[in-house]
Amino acid sequence: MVNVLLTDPGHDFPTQMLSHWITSAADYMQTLGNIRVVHLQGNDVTHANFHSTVVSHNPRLLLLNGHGSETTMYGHSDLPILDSNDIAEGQFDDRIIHALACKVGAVLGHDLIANGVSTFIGYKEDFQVVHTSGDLNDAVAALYLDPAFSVPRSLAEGKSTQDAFIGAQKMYAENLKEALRLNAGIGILAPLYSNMQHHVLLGSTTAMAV
Amino acid sequence: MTQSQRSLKEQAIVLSQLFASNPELKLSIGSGGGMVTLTRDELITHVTEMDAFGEKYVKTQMDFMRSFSSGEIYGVLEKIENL
Repeated sequence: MVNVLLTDPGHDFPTQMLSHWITSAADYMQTLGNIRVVHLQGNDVTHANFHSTVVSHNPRLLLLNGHGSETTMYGHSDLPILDSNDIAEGQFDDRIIHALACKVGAVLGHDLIANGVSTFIGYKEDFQVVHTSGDLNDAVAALYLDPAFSVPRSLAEGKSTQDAFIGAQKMYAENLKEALRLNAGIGILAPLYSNMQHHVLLGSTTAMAV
Repeated sequence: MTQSQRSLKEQAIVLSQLFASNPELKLSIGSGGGMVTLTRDELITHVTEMDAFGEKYVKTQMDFMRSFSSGEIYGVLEKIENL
């Protein structure tokens, strides 16, 4: 049985959108039979809880969702849970981390790899989502979030980090081509192109979570 | 064309695109370690005022338009298809 840790703060509309999608991915993972999902939600997504859960549950795969900056991943109420200056030696050795957050692939991802993380997949610039409603199932938002959340699903299915990353890149490309074909406005196309171009895989390309 | 003239031209191009876009459009994007959700009209205000967020929005839009008009985007898509 492989443990997977999710952080899911859900304290504002953007993080509630991420919550909707990561909960769906977690439900799928539970059906695979060999994965135990440890779901840190809402007020529980704190620095102390995050780090103690990593120690107590020893997750092979960490799926971090929330806000981010170049050096910091945030939890509930935008309080830091993981920072470039606060990576305990050995704590993340050989783990695979997927971060659905802005910019953490720019610095924090590299620092995690330098400190023993096997693979980091995330975004080195702002992750952007265009939507036309407050509905968590917004069809336009799915253009951006479906490729992004294909990575956790693929990793849970046993695909290598590189195959999971390439699968997401191909989904971004397909969605972009479809949006171009339908003459979607620049306001929809530009953020989709930006997400695709700033999606990064750092570290091992052959690692597998399960 | 000076840098200032170029910036004004890019601002005008992005504003024209925004005014022509769906008024229901909203963008959720990172801002200072958090994330904000902006309506189309709020985006128009940011770009009109060219504050830090307006400049960031114009850059993303212009990066795409340059890639599209030069044809670079099709090379990028083909490269991904062949991975």
